[in-house]
Amino acid sequence: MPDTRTLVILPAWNEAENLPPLLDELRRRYPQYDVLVVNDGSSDCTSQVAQAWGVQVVELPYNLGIGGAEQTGFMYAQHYGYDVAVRLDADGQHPPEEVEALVHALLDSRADVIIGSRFLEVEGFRSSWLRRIGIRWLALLGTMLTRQRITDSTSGFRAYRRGAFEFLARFNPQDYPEPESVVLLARNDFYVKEVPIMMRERWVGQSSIRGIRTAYYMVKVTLALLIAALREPVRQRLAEPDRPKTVQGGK
Amino acid sequence: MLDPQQFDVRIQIVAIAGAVALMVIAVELVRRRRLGEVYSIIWLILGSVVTILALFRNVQEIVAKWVGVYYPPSLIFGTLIFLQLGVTLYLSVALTRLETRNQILTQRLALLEHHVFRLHKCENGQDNS
Repeated sequence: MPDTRTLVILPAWNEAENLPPLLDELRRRYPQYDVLVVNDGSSDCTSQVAQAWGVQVVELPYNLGIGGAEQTGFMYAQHYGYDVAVRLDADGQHPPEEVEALVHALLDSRADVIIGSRFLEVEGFRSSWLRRIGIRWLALLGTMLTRQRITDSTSGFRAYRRGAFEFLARFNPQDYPEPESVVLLARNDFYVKEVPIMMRERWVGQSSIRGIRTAYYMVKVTLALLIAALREPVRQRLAEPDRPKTVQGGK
Repeated sequence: MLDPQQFDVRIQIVAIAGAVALMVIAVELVRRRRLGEVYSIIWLILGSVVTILALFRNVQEIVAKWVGVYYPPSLIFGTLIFLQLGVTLYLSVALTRLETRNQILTQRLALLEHHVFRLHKCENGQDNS
């Protein structure tokens, strides 16, 4: 099999402080991977920092939010013909050493998407109990709606095969992309698998979801997931030259 | 002779049927990607409120008394109008945001075309500045 071209996508909003250690580690561990920083309308020098580290940068004219930013990354991956796209948070919560595990899990299986889950094994994540309950609820809802085993649907630490990121380049959900895209992908016949990983604490800055707002957030996301599940599956899946044909000749 | 009771029941049915139809249409539009999810929530809330008010006569009367409306069923219309104003206001906000973003895109596009034009002229050996 020819060398797989892999792109690491880092959607970033004001992460000038968190990027340098992350980019450093990515460069040291995976010199063969290309890295793209999608600057989501940052007001700090996120863009200059990324350029100083020699990675590709795409500047969004204004803030689109995580859904739009990662979608831009998928569009980039599609345009430049990558085989695999890995998506990481730019704040350092997703440990670079686990990227390899995700990519291997993807290439060694028939999965279209690998999600790095904090809950497949115990103690993958430390946070408030309320957040953990919320995440477990969303995972349960995801499992029910997709009929695949999901334990962490809000994790943004993912690896995608070409067919999957090409689909998301067109249809990435904008409101709550992490849990919604799991449901959307599964309902459009993409095979979603999980791999256990440990996440780190956020280095600098505040997470955009805090405290009591978690409960309100959960209600909104639940509603969004239910609606996402109702969406009409896209009739023709985008062509995937790299996918082996099934023996039975179905689909 | 006209029977007031009959009218009350009928308007209830009409109101509920209308609200339910609206909600079903809204959900279907979201399903077909014609309507963003955010907007569906607005219509679902609107439809639910109207349905609840129309369905439970006693709720109507309690709220009507509380708000100061003499004829309870007109609470439904009042609510509808009020919620509509809310929707209109929200649309104005969304429109403003779109206009702002549109302007940014317009300006950057113009600048981009300018850069490309200059680059093109440079390549063709017509150096300037």
